Amino acid sequence: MCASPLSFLRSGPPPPKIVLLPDGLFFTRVVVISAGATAADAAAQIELALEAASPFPLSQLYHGWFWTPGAEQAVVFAAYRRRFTSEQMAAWADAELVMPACAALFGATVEPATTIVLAAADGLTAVHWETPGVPSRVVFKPLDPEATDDDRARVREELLRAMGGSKVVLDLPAPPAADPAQSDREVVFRSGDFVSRLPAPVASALDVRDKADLAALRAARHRDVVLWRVALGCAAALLLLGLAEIGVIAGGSWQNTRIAVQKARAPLVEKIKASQSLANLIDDLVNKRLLPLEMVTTLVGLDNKWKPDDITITRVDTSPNTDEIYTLLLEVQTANGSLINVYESQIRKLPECEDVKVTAKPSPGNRLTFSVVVTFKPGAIKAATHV
Amino acid sequence: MIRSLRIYFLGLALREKLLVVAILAIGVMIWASNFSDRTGRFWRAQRTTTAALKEQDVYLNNQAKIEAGAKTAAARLVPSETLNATRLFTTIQQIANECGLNSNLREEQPTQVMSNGQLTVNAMRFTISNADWPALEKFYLALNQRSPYIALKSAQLVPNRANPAQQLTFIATVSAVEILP
Repeated sequence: MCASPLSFLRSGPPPPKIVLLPDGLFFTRVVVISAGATAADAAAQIELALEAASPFPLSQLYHGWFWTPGAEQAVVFAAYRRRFTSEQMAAWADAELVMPACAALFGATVEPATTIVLAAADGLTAVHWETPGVPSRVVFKPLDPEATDDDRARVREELLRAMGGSKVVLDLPAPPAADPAQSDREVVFRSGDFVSRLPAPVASALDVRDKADLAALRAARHRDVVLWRVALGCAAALLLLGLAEIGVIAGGSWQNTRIAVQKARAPLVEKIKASQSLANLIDDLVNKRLLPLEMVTTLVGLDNKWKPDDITITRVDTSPNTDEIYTLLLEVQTANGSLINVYESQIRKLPECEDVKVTAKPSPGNRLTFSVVVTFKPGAIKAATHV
Repeated sequence: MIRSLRIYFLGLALREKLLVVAILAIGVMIWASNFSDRTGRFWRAQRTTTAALKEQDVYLNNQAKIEAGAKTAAARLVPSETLNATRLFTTIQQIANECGLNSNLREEQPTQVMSNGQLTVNAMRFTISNADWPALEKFYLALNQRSPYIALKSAQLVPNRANPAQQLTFIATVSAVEILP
C-alpha cells in the first residue's frame, strides 16, 4: 500500500544528503594560516600549500579544507580525481556535501589533547586536537578487510602512539550521521552522545567537488531558495487573503444587519422628515415673505427722495438669484454716468441694505444702463399696508 | 512542516518549481484583484449606510421636537383657508377683478410644486399688463392680505415705455399651500 503523498509532512524534515567518502582515498595535511587571514586569504594559502605538497596539479585533485575564522591552521584533504569512478561521482550530483568521512568529526567540541578514532571497513582514522578548534593531526591507517579484532586493536594503539599524548580518547565505530536539517545555518552530525556542529560556511569548504561545479550548484541553490521564498510569500498572501475573506464575510453580515435596521426605521424617519418639511414650509410662508414693492419703495424713498431724477428705472426683478427673497435687481438708465455713483452711495447709507453691486451694461443710444443688485438685511423690510 | 515543504520544494525540478511559483502568483493576483474590488464596494456601501443611519439617528433623536414644531406650524394655518390649484386661479382672478385689472390679467395654469400627503403646494404665474399704478398697488396690497395662504415667489416690474410714470407691467409667480384633510 502506498504511503500518503503528504507523509513527508508528518515525518518531519529528512537529513541533508551528504556523501561521506572513504578516508583512505585522501591524503591529509595540516597547513599553517597567517594570523588575521580572511576566508579568501585562507583559501588562497591552502591551495598554494596543496599545490606545493601534491604530486598532481590542483586541477586533477578533489580537495577541501577545514578552517574556522581566526584559526592559525587548517586541515587540508585531497584525492586524485581518477581514484573515483563515474558511477561514484553520479551520486554526488544532488548531494549537499561530498567530503571524507573524518571531516564529519571536525566540528566536535573537544577538550585539549583529545583523539577520536573513527572505525571504517577499510581502516581506522585518528583525529587529534592539541587545542580545541582545528585538529592538529589526522592520520589514516588501512586495515585488511579480513583483519581480526586484535589487528584492529594493534592498529589503534599505533595510531594513538603516533598522536602523542592524548588525555581523552573517543572511539566511534562508524561515521556520525547527519541530523535532520533544522536550519541552513549549520550541519549537525551525531553518533550517540558525540555531536559535531559545522557552520554552513565552514561545511561548504569541506566539499571536495570541482570548485567550478560547486559554484554553479550554489548559484542554482540560491536561485531555488529565491523561488522558494517567492512561493512562500505567495502562500502567505493567499493565507492572508483567506483571513481577509472571512473578515469581509463577517463584515457583510454586519452590514446586512445595519441595512435591515435602516429599512425598518425608514417609514418612521420619512414621516418625521415630512413633518419637518411641513413645519419649514409653513414657517417660510408666514415669516419669509417676498416684498418687492416695499423694497423698491425703500430704494427710491418716499416721493423718490433717494433716487436722482435723471435716473430712470427700466426694470425691477426680484429673482436675480433663485429663491433669494432679500435681493432685488434694479435695471436703471441715465444720461449722466456719475449719478449712478451718487445713487449707489445713497443706497449704501440705507440701514436696511446689506450690500449693493452696480454693473454697467451695454446699451444702445446715448443713455447708460446699469444693473443695481441690492441685498437687504433679513427681516429689515416689513410688509406695508400702503406702498 | 515548513522545513519539510521547503526541502520538498527544493527537491523539485526547476520547471516544476517555476510552475508552482507561477500558479501561486497568478492565484494571488486574481484573488487580490477580485478581493480589492469587493472590498472597495463593501467599504463604500458601509460608509453610505453609516451616513444614512447617522442621519436617521438625528431625525429619531429629534422626533418629539420636530413633530411638536410641525403641530405648532400647522396650527398657524386654517385648513379651510388654504387654496388648491383651482381656488388659487380663481382667487387671483377675483382680486384682479376687485382692483379693476381683470382685462389686464393673463394667467397661466397652476402647477403642482410639491406634495407630501399632508400638504400640496401649487404655483401659478400671471402677468398684469399696462396697469395703472394705483390699481396695481391696490392689487398688491390685496394679494399681501392673503398671506400666508398665497405667497409671492417672484416678481418683475417693467414700466410702460410710452408712459413710464403711470403704467407698469407686473409679472409674478405666486404659490399657495393646501392642507389636505
